[in-house]
Amino acid sequence: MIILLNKSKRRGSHQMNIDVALKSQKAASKTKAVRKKYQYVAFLYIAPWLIGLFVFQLYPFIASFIYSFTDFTMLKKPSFVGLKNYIDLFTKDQLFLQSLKITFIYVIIAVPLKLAFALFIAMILNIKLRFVNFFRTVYYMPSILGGSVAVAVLWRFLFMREGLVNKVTSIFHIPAVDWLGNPKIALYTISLLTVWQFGSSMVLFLAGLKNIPSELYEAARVDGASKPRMFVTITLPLLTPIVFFNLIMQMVHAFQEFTGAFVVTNGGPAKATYLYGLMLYQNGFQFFKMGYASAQSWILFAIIMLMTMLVFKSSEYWTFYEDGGDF
Amino acid sequence: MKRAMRLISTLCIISILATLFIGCAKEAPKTGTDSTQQAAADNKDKTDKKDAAPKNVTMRFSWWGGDSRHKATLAAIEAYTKKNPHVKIEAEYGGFDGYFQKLTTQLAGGTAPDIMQVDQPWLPSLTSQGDLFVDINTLKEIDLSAFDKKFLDSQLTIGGKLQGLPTGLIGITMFYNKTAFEKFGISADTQWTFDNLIEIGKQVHEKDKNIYLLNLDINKYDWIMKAIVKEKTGEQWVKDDYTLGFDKAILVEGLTWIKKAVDSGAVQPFEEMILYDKKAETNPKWVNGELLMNINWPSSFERFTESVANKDAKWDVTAFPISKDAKKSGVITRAAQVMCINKNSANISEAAKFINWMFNDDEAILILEDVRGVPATEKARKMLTDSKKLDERIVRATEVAIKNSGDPENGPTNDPELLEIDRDIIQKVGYGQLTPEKAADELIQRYTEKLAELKAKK
Repeated sequence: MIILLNKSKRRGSHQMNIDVALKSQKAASKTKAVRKKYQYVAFLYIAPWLIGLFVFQLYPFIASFIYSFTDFTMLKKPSFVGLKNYIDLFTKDQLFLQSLKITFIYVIIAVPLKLAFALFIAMILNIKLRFVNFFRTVYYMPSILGGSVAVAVLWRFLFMREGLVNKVTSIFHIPAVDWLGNPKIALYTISLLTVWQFGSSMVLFLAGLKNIPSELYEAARVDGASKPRMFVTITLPLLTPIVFFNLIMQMVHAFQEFTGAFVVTNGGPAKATYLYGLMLYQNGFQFFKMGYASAQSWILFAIIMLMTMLVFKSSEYWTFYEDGGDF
Repeated sequence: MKRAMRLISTLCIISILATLFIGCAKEAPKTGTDSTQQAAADNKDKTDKKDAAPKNVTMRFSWWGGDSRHKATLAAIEAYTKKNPHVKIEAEYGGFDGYFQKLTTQLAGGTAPDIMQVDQPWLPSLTSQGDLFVDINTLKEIDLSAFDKKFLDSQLTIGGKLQGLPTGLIGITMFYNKTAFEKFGISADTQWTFDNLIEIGKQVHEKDKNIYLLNLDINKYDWIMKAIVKEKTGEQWVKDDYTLGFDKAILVEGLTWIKKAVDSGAVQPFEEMILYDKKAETNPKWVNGELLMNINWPSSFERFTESVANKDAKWDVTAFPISKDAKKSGVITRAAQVMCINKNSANISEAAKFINWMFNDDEAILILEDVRGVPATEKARKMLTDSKKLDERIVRATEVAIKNSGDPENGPTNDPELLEIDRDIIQKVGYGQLTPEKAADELIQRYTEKLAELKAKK
């Protein structure tokens, strides 16, 4: 517009000046209107997602924060109790620390195992094989089914005393183990269920492996490097950004784990798999202590936040980016 | 072309959004949910439209149970809807495990069914949360004359309101595999005590390492532990004023029974049992006939005996132990289940009519038989006995249990948080993680804290 105005100024005609200015204004407002219309359509397109975000995430998110300061029981009107829920959790509730401890153990076992297993399978599937795409699909399957109750039920049947696992080991005369009934073992069995859902991490590792330039391996081979050596000095460092990403995602997920422990052992035996999520559920839906459960969920949120920040901070020392990794 | 495309896509999005909203929309709560008003309004409706066809209604009815109960209830619903074509009843049924959580979530979310089967021990904690069920006394549609008024008043009336109707009367009994008992030389006339359960259980297990006398899950250990304690104290487990009804020494005796039972081999080790907690009839050892006895409500008799693979095995029912020097019996008797009507239901009147039919109509009585325990009404009991539809064993067991019955359990005793502490402690003893003495200390300490909290909430 300024250019137009300048132009008309040079021509020296005042009237024209106004005309052009008006015209350009009109044109501008027209494009504005069009843009507005497009924006409106765009919003319409993303509306389902936006509504989902507001109704199913943002609203419960805020509501639970407010409820965490009340004695909300779902059926009665909540009344404000200040920090009582938080204080009770830390000072009175023995199960709180117990379930936190179990959850940390679970995260420490399940996440590294899952990542290692995902990487292992990704390495295998990275080998040029016939039907490799078929295998990649097959190996991804457990992840699609993974979170479902059906798989957890299957797990129960596999690992119960009369289950398939004990049947197979009995062939080798190994005595039957109570994989889920023994308080000392049950948590590991539940962790295995998580490890089995390695698919999404595996796909990311696979993509990462494909991105590593083959020249590096060729050069290493020329220099006479062994396979393990190549893995340690080429593959692993170049995969660290993906390890980092997977670590964060899986850790966040593992802290919130619920389905497996709920369906397979329901927190038992003798509270051995009483994960934090289960305690939260029990308080909220079995004992009607929604306010208390909300406080619990915010503590979990803070813990996950803190752990994620720690991993982020530590990543400076162990992730490696070819381009320097400024992010 | 472009414009058409845009139009189509906009329409698509709007339709998606519309379904989303419809899906989310909660049924508008009725104003003035007071049931008497509602009943009166409905009655007025009826008189107004005497000649007009009744309004079509769809109701939801939820219950838990085993196959025989499901089949009979579905048949009853079909019979009722055939007679009342304007009524449609959607059945929501399944196992016991998880039913309570589902129900509470539905009640909180305002999506609870119109008619709900509720367990009696849940009533105190549910009704303390609010006015959830219609006071049956206010409903003209239901004829209460056939019920024992004393029972309704003492067990199902809370805050002066009759919360629901009892489907049956039940008391703790024991089922046993008669065929296997003969094989092991156990007399059917054995007078069971808490001690000889362990002694005979030990002998059985010594004879055959694969076999255990008792099939117990944690809830049943809880019954036994409490029965032993109550016999000694003559008090409620938790008194009405939220104090403990026992001291450590007596509790230790109750917990020691659990340890003895496990150590002697009278029961399966906890490691093997725990996966079938709350669904003991699915325990493979029970199915294979390797567990000979179960302690349970008579209403579970069919479910438990039907799940045993060997159909030739004969079953009978015997009385739950009572010690000779007991101050009070530990046998619990109560309503088998309670049929409640949702206070927020849009069809209270129709729901009441259906319930009235279920309890009082001859056809319904004959269809439902004893799938919810021996019926609570005299009329139904007589009808079923006359037509030989009642299992003689169940009737006998129920009669014995009622004769031996202790006081009905009070509300605080059945608080879900306290029961959860029991479950914890019982497992700690069963797994040998704690001695009965240490476990008693822990139970008393945790109970004391929780009871203070519960009392403060009152």
